[in-house]
Amino acid sequence: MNFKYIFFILTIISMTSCSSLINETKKESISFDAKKITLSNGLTVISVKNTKLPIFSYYTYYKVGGKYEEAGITGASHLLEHMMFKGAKKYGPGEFDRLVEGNGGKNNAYTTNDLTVYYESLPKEHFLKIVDLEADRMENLSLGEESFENERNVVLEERKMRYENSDQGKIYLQMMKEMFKGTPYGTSVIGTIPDLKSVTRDQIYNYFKKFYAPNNAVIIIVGDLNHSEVQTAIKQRFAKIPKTKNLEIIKKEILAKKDFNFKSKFNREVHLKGSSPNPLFNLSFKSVKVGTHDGFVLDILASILSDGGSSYLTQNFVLSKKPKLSQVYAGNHTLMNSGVFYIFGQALPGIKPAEIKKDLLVSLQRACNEAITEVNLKKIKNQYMVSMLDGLDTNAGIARFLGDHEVYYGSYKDYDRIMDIYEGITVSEVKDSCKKFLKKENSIFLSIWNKN
Amino acid sequence: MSKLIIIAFVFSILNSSRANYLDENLNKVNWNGIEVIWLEDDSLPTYDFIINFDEGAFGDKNGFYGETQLMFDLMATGTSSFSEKEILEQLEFYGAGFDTNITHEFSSMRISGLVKDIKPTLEMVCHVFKNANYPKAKLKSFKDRKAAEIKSMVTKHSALASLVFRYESLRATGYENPVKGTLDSMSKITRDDLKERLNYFNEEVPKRIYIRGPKKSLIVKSIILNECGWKKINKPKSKKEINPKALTNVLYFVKVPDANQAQIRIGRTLNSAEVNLGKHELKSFTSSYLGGGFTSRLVQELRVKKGLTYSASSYVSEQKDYGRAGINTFTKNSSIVEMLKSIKSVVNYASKNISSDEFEMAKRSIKGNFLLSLESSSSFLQNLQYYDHIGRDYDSIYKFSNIIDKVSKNDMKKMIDKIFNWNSQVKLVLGDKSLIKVLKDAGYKVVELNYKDYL
Repeated sequence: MNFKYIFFILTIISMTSCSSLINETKKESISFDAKKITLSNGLTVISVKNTKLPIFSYYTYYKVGGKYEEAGITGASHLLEHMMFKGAKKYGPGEFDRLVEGNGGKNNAYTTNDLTVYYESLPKEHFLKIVDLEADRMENLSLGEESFENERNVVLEERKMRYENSDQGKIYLQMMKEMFKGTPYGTSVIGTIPDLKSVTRDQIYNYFKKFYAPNNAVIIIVGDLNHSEVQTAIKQRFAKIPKTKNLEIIKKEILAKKDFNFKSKFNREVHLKGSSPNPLFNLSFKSVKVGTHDGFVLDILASILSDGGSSYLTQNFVLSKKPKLSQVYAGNHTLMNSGVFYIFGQALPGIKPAEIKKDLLVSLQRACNEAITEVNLKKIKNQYMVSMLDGLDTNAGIARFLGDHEVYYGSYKDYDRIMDIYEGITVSEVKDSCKKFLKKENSIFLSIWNKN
Repeated sequence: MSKLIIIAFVFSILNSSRANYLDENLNKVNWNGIEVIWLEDDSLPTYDFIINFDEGAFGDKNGFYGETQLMFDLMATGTSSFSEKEILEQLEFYGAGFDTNITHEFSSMRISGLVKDIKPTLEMVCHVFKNANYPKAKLKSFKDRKAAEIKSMVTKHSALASLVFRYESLRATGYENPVKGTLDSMSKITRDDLKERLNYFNEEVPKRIYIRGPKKSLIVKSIILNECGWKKINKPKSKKEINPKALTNVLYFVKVPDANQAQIRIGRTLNSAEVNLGKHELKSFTSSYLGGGFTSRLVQELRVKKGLTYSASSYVSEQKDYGRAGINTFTKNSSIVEMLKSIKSVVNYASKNISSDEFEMAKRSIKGNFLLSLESSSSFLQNLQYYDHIGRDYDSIYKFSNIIDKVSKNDMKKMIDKIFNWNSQVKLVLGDKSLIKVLKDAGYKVVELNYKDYL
């Protein structure tokens, strides 16, 4: 066992009452056998020793995502993510998948507005091979013309699957577009169809050369490996890869040209034509960037509103005597430079978008007083703890947990600080945030169904 | 020894012949005749608790499809002592997680959470099992929500294609009706039906319990025996004969509005003889080779080489009495004919030609992936549950690698031909109506289906 639980956050309660025991709290924290180094070329590497199984997971975070894309190349980060599996100098087309899957491993990747993340899990004897593969594609990606054209088609099909053929996907894209209008988050990570059709191989290559550098990456390796063997292998293979000079300045300049302040017109409605027979809706509010105290408080607020059958919105709109919605979900989507707090759901037959909007706004005002109680707050803190522990059941889960903390909060060790922040949030703070952020004048209401 | 260490050991003894180590590490406990499989694991202060019921949706009354699913879904809507809100508040306060999994052959409920809260959590679970009274208003409200959800399926093309395909490929086997029921079948189900079904589950359905967690997790024994009141039930498992009667010489077409992609489902039901054949590892290997990852034949041809789709996958899944095999993918409207031809060509080619390199790589791939799939505690537990259901020894988990090593290319080619032979497949396309002409012009005998008939 390489990480241990020192003390408990969770409440001990009896069946008879939740409220009677909520002050009986002990805190638990977790620790990992982890080491972090930074190479002279700026590459950050975190190794976590976990000997429970002779396997490892390898995560690479590139600190580049949709927000860095210039006009005309929306979707470049995501298309590049696809191309990263299409061959480099030493390991040609198809080799990456052949070596990972052919050695009993699995791999994938994802792209967000802020980041692009790659991951693999394999038996430990293939560790050196993965280091070599990752270094090869960071250093010498091929971007062959033929595979580039194929992948362009694949992404266009993915776009249809995720967004064009899904009312839920459409309303999400539109929410980002409307809330972040005029900011880098207002463009879609998957890209617009014209951009995807016109972007050239050279544009993607230039994007790659600029952003896929050791000083823009964080690697997290969790598994049955010694810190020394991880560090030696990484140094041997990555130390020679040159960093992108002045990367921080380049990134700052790109972002300086892009203003993340909300510019959209709020307190309005957007209605989309879809195919659903009952309206789907999204009521969004201005939120804040990741890592801010308000952001943590809003996370808790979102959970109080909609996590579980006993949550406020579920009780009032889905499980009530006269239900109006078939489902409802609240989320606080914090990004590195901004954020959006949203309530998403679907109406039952006969309920129109205007009615949903009116009822939701009234209900949210009441929620700021009624829903935020000591019991509900403690319930959510308990749920966060269980959810976190569940996520640490695998190497990949640990890598993701520490990687997210390193990249979003500045240090992988920050999990303890973040847990303390959540634990310290009070009822009055959540109430204050609820009143401050969930204002009609800061909202946009979207709906989609076949009658719009 | 913790489960994690057990699996570490599994990795290390893949080629060894130590057969009795399971006895040393896996604990089988008898709780008043109820079999309990306990994986001792103190690596996290959490537990997983699975209650397996040897009864599934196949036992729904004729025309009342969805009864078992509804019985589980609505169990927490009220008892004589607690309202739905009170039940949910109590359980969610502990951060406990609940999942139910209803199949045609068996049902299960998985409860997870912090070990320190296992007792009050299971007390409430047992209270609900014994006292659920399915309030009429809650039943009506739930049915309304489900009906809206089912009607909205027209916007979920992938799920809709799978629903219609499932029915047609299982037609007349008894397994074709969906576990979740249909609009018509759900409308008939009353609270008395649900109470009767729950009573049957409590009193007459054999149960098995799977626990992952430290020794303290076992303190719930008295709760299960006294408050759930469950006891040993002897009920021999019956064997059902499956003889699929689906049409394989036509192409089913389901027309939906606003589709700029065509969903494709190709596959069939495995008959009793094929299920009884065993060879589970070879069947898994076959589906993995065809469509199990980026290096699989289908993904290489359809995505990597031709850029026709974002994803393509194949599967062979079996329960005790029946099984299904198939290929799922989609493509843009303009390439539907090329896609169908390409799938046929991949399968035909693979049933005759398998290169040694690809074959060996696929072996390493499935062996590694099988082991990685056991990393998560809950999936390991679910593996044990599945093995018990189909009547296989846990030893099979540890023999997996050796069995795969012994598979020859010839075995694989025969299995591909046996299971995926194009002429024995049910074929279905869901998409825009303009595709009907395209498919007819390409020589397919198209049979149109109305998706509303399957909701």
